[in-house]
Amino acid sequence: MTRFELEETSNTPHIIFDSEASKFSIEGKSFPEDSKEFYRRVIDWMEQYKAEKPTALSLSFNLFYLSSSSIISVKQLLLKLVDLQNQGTKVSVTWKYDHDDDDIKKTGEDYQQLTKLNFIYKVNV
Amino acid sequence: MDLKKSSSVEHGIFTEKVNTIRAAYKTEDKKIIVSHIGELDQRKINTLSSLVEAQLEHLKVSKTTTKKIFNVVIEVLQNINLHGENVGVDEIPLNYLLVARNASDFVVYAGNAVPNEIVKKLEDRLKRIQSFSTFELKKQYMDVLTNGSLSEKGGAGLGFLTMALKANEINFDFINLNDEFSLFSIQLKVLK
Repeated sequence: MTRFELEETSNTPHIIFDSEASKFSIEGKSFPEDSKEFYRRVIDWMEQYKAEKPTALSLSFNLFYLSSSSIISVKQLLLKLVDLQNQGTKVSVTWKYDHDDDDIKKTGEDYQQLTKLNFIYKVNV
Repeated sequence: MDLKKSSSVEHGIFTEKVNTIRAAYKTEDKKIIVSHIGELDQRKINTLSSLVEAQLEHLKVSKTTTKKIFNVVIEVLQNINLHGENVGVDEIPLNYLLVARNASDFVVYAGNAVPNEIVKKLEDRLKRIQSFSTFELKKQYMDVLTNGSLSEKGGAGLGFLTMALKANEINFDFINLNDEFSLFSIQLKVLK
C-alpha cells in the first residue's frame, strides 16, 4: 500500500498513513475550507487499505483545533475504522491532547462514545 | 477608522451598524482588537484567526479562553464564507468581523447579508439555540454528531451549536437591506 502524506498548512493538519512503518497520525489544526473534499482523500485511502485486511491499526490524533465541519469528517474517518474492526482488524485510537485542553479531550470522548472504538488518551508533555 | 459614507442605501445601513458597534469601544478598557470589513475567503480566514490568536496572546489571555474565541471566530467566518450572499457596493461584500475586549469579557461581532426568505428560519433556529440549557445544547450536538453528514455546501449543522457551547452569551438581529436581502448580525460573548 502506498504511503500517504499531506503536509501541514495553516488550516489543515499533517497526515501520515504509512502501512509499512505502521505509522498513522493526524496532527495540527483542522479547519479546511471544504472539509468534505479534504477528508475524502484520507477516507478513500483508508477504504483501499481495508481491502488489504491488516491485522492491526493504531491511528494517533494530536489535534489542536477542529472546526465543526472537520468534526463530522473525522467522525466519518473513524467510522471507516469501525468497518476495519468489523472485518477483524485490531483497531485502536490514540487521542493526544494538552493537559489544559478539556475541549479536545471531550471531542475524543464524544467520538469514543459514538464509535465504541478502543481509545487511549495521552496528555502531551 | 469609520467606514466611508456611501450613497447606496444598503451600504448606509451596513455602515451604521458597524459604526454603532465601534462607537461602544473607545475607552482604555473597551477596545476593538481585530476588525475586518468586506471580502472573505479561506486565506483571509487563516490570516484573521492567526491575528486573533496573536492579539490574545499579547493580552496574556488564558489558553482556554483564547481557544474558545478562536473557535467562535472560525465558525462565524466559515459560516459567512459558506452561506453569505455577495451583496455589496462596488464589489465590496457587506461582511464584517469585530472582536472587542471589555473589562471582563470578549465579544465577537460578525455580520453578512442573507436572503430575506431564510430570515424566519434562521431566526427560529437561533431562538431555539438561545433557549437551550448547556445540557440541551450538548444533547443536540451529540444528535447532530451521531446522525449528521456534510451538506453539498459543506455545512455540518454543528456551527451555531458549537458557537453556543463555546460562548457564554449569544445574540443576533436582522436589519432589512432591501426587497431581497437583510443584514444578519450575530454577537457572541466569551467571559475572560
